[in-house]
Formats: sequence, C-alpha cells, structure tokens
Amino acid sequence: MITDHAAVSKQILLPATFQERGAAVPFTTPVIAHARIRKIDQGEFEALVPGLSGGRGTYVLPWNNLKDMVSMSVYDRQLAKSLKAEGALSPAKIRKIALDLSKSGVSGSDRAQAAKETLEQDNAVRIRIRQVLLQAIVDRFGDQDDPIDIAAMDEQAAMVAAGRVLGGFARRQGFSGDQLIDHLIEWTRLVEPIGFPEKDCAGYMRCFAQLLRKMNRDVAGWARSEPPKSQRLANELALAAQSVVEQTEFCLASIDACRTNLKQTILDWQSTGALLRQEIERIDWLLDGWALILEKWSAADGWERHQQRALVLELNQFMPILPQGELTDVSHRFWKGVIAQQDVAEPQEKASHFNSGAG
Amino acid sequence: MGQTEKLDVLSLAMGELQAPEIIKLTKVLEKGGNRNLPSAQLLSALRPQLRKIRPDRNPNMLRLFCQPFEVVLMNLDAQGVRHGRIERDVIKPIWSLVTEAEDTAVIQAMERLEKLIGQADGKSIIIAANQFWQAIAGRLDTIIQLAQSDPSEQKALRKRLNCENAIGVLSEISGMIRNAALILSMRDSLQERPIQTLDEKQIECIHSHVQKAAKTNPGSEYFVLLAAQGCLLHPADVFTFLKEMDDNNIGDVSLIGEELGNVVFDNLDLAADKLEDLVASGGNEIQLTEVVKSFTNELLNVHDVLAITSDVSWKRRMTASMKRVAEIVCSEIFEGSVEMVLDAYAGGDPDPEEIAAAERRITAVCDCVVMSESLAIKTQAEQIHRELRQQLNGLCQKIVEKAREVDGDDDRARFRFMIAIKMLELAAGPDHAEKVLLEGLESLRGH
Repeated sequence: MITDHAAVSKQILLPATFQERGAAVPFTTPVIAHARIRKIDQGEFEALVPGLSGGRGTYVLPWNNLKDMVSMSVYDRQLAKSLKAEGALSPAKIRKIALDLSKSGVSGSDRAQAAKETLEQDNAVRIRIRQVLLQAIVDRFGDQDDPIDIAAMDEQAAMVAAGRVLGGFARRQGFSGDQLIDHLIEWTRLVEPIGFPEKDCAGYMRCFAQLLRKMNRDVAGWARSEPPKSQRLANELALAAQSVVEQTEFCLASIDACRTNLKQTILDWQSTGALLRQEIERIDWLLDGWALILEKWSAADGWERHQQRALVLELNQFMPILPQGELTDVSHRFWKGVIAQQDVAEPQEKASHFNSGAG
Repeated sequence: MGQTEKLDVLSLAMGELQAPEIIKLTKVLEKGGNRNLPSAQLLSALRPQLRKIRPDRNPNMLRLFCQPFEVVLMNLDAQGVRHGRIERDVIKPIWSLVTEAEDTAVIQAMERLEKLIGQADGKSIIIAANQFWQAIAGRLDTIIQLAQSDPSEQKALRKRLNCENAIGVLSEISGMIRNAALILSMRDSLQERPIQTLDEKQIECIHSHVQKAAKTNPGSEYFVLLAAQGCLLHPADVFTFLKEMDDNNIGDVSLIGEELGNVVFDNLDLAADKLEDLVASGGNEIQLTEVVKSFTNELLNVHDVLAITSDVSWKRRMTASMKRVAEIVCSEIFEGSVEMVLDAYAGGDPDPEEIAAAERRITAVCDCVVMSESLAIKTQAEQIHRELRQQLNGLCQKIVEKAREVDGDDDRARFRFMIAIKMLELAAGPDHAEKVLLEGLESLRGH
C-alpha cells in the first residue's frame, strides 16, 4: 500500500548533494534492488525506490513503510531494521552492515560464504596496507642500523618496533613517537577501503573503480553494433560510468600523492588527514549504486543479444545520478538528459510469462 | 613457452583490448597477410569479444552467399528434419557444390563482385551482389532438378551434405537468395534482432515487404516470412501476418501457415531436446529451470498467438513436447527433493556445497510449481511443495530445540538456524519464515 507520504518525485531533477541522492541499499528483493536510503529530520530515514512496478520516476516514502509496500525477503527486513538503528549512513557503513548480516546465513549459504571471504579479504588488505605504509616510513625516517622487516612481525610488534626507530624523527619534527604512530594508524584506517596501487594492497573501492572502467569499455564496445536506440542507451551507460570513474581516479591520484609526499603528509597531518577523509568519502559516494549495475552487466556476459539489450535498457533506468555539486556545465547537461530519460523510460518489451534469470 | 601456452597468454591479453583495436586486429587477421601470425587460432581467441562487439567482418564470397539466409542458420545437434532452419554444417559442402561446377554465370558474378568489394562502392556492390545471388540460385535450382529426376544423384547429394533433407535445404536457400534484395531491405529496416515484441513500425515493415514479394514474384512470400520469422524471438509471432494475408487474399496462406507452424513446433521440440541434453550432461537445477521457463514462455506464447486446437497434428506435437518437459521436471526437480533437502542437514556441520545444492533445488521446485499448470503437473507440484514446507518447518523447530539442549545460543547453532530459515523462506515465503525466525531467536536468547 502506498502511504500518504509517498509521492512520485517527478519535479526533482538532479539531487543537490550525495546525501540528498541517498545511499544505495543492497536489498535482495528485485523490486527494491535499486532502492536508496536517506536521512531526514529528527533522525528519521526515508526510502527512495526508483521504477517501482516498472513505473516511472522514484517513489519517496518513510523507511518504516517500505515493508508495507513490498514483500521483502527476510534478509532485507533484517537489513532495513539494522540500518534504521544507525545514526548516520554512508555507503561504506551500509556495505559493512550488509556483509555482517549476509555472513549470518540469513540470505543463503552462497551469500554467507561470499560475505565471509569479502570480510577476510578486507582484513588482509588492511594488514598489508599498514605494513607497506609503516615499512616506507621506517625505511625513510627511522634511526636504525639494521633494516626492520615489518611484514615479518605481528601488528603489535611492528608498531612497537616502528615507534622505537621513529622516535628520533618524531622529536626532531616536534611531536612524540606515540603521536606519530597514532597518525599512521589513522592514515591506515582511513585508506583501508582504497589501499595502494600495488598488488595485494588495493582496497575494495580501488578494485571496484578498475572494474567499472572495464565495464565502461565493454559497454562502449558492445554498443557499436547495436541499432540506434539501444546504442544510444548503451553509450549513455558507458559515458555515465566513465564520468564516475574519471572523477574517482582524480580523487585516487590525490590520495596516492599523500604517500609520495610522505614527510609532508606526516608533518601536516591535521590538514592532509582531513583531505584524505574528504576524498575517500567522495569516492565512496561516487561509486555508490554502481555495484549492482556492474554485477548485472558481468552476469550478462554469455546472454543472448536481446537479453543484453533488455538489460541495458534496465540499467540505464537505474544509473545513479551524480549530484549538482559534482558537475561541470557539460556534465550537468548530460546528467539532466539521463534523469529525463529515466523519468520517461517505459518497458520496451512485453514481459515474459515467467521471468528468466537472464534478462 | 610452448605454442599452446603462448596462445593462452595472447588470449588473455586480447581480453584487455578495446573495441577499435579488436576490429583493427580482426581485419588484419582475416586478410591473412602475415604468415608469421597463427591467424586462425588468434581469431578463435578473439571470438568472445567479437560476439560482443559484432564488427563488420571483411566480406568474402562465402559470407555474402549466406547473408540472405543467415537469420535461419542454426547449430542443430539434434537429429531429424527441422523446418525452415538451415544447419551451419551444410554451408561449406553446398558452397563447394556451387563453386566446383564452374558455372559461367556464377564465375562471372563472383569475379565482378570480388573486384567491387576491394573498391568499396556500396551501390555497385549491391547490384553485383544481387547478380551473384541470382546466379547461385540458378545453379542450386539445376542441382535440385537433377537430384529430383535421378534417385542416385539424390542419394549422392544427401551423402555429400550429410543431410537427409538435402533437397529441402537447397530449395530453402535458393528461395531466400532469389529474394535477397527484399529480405535484406526488410532486415535493415527491422534493425534489432531478435525482436522480442513487434511494434507497429516493424509490423508495417514486414507486411509491406510481403506485399512486394507477392506482387513481384508470387509464391515468394513464404521466403520473406521465413526470414522475418528468423528475426523474431517468438517464431509464432509471424502468424500475425498470416491473418492479414488471409484477409487480403495474399499467397497460399494455409500452405505457408503449415510450413511456418512447423518451425514453431520444431522450436518447442528443440527446447525439449535441450532439456534432455542438459539432464544427460549433469546440468544443475537452476540451468534446468531456465530451459523449462523458456519452453513454458514459448508454449504460452504459441497459445496466445495460434488457435491450435483446430489443428490436430499441431496439438499432438505440442502435447508431446510438453509431456517430455513435464516428465523431466517431475523426475529431475520434484522427485527426491524433500530427501535431498533434509539430507543436507543430516550429520554434524552442514556441508556448504550440499546446502547450496538444496537451496537451488528448493528454488527450482518453487519456480516449477508456478509453471506447473501450463505443464499439466499441478497436482504433483502442489503436493511436493506442501511436503517441503512442512519438513522445513519441522527442521527449523528441531534446530532450535537441539541448540537449546546442547549448545545454547552459539554462532554455529545460529548459523545453522539462519540457513534453514533461508530455505524455509524459499519454500514458504518471507512472512512465514520471518515469523519462525523471530520465534527461534527469541527461544535461543531465552535459553
């Protein structure tokens, strides 16, 4: 049932900010798979559900009413409850909550296993990032006669050893060894989802940006032999992905530059730390909502051409729109075109009697 | 590094190429100018990307020959006659048959066309290509006549093409290439392929091409419709045009209808063949269900489009293929499903693979329950579904009781319970599963 609060947001064009756009929620129920959550006043949340029942525009409704509108899976019900319990939500936080919930088994054994592996991978990357960063700083600024192999020590021992050899450097720069280690720990924690470009050090956001870049090329290549209408839609999808990837790569470059300018980063930690936080948060929001699109496009690899065509139409309708604050004049026109297209898009094909997994 | 390994490395590298590079490389390889390159292997390594990008390939005589009938080309592994479809394997023997005869008209048409291809003059190529198709059609008609008049020639032809229906196939190719200009013009206007749902513009386009065929070459409407049918996702949709043709007295509608109807029912048979092959090759429940869905969609589409009850032979064919699919659903998906699901939980910690297989089976059962009415197996489907729900309810109950007796609320017990809840959800829906979940968690906490 649609509540009194529900309204089709046809009058809204581009969202002003990422927060206004809302964060994508990885629901498993197909009809709300592209739903978003955003905070409103008094700590309440609301849901933004695009393309409900194949319709146009986006439904906006109180978060609590979502379950009255759609028959959600048990996992989705649990996820909706967990998110509601949070104070503020970022895509990274939602990802963590969703992974923890999947690991419980409530979304099935395959998803539980996948979530477990993802969390383990995140942890492995975190450890590796800390090792690489500590090793670089110790090698460059440490007062030691014999080289220290950080990777050969456990985390605690590595910190103690690093604190010992970096004490002199810290004092010379006007702060204590503990302060220096605290900065390093904070740095590691911040860049955890990004990591470094080296093998085994790439965080999930960096990996995801690479996959999105590949998808952008794949879709553009696929579009070449398509009839005009689906070619236009596919090119729009490719361009949207490219726009997101380019902005992400720009942020990544400034994050990676902090490691190149090690000394400057450490000495000016207050401002570089804030910059890192801001850039990482921006990447988090830039990539938000593309995971499902990427997953669906990858799954369509061996599909029949007409199924891929129907998928491109569907994906085009759910592309996450970049907010006004992120856009130049040119890209502003492009994204306005995308949102206008999403608002008027109608199902192109007649529905099958029984939905196939492909298409 | 050996040759195979080198090619593996190259294939991997090709996965990273972008569309323009792939197109450029394909052109070079197809021209075959560099003898140091293993062109055939490299082209086969490029095939997955080529399928995605579908670049314009270098035109050669064989490709041009196939162009008018390429929409009805199929890889047919199954035995028996398939109406209105041409097996890819017969193309090369037919091409040899045409070219080795040294027919002057064919040779001259080929030479003219070959020269023009290099010069890339679009309009002249179209004219020359049409002469080329007409010349080949003439040659094929001679071969057909010879085979029809001489049983030993016919036998030799069947042997050479390795095809029981050799004359039928040659007639179909000849008919389509004779109408190549019309067919290709129609396909250009239709643009996308396969067409999932015909829109008004597409209906008008096909209709006007059929009318043109009827005017310029009466009797050739069938070939234009056959090409149109090859562009459709649901072959039965072609009957939309037969109704109009009947109203306007165009062509021999009953004869054309019979031929095109055979394609529709062959298609259902092919889906049943595919399902049987999948069972033989050990396909899993999800793969089986996908084929069943596709079959059932096609079946319902046939029902929607055709008044099949009036034609006894069609009804018989449809019932036969439906029965084959229904039997597989019963034996491979319904039968033993309850035991399989419960077995996944027998013993200690559940094996992840067995649990995943059980989840797949429950999903497949539920999907097939939805389709069971169309497949005339509703009673069996509902019975198995009911039993699954009951058993899974009992299972969830037992897990909670056992956890309370032995472990209490520990992670392992909770995980077992959650996995069982997911299965219950698949079988009985989220509302009931959530109710059992909340009761179970309450019970575990209370322990």
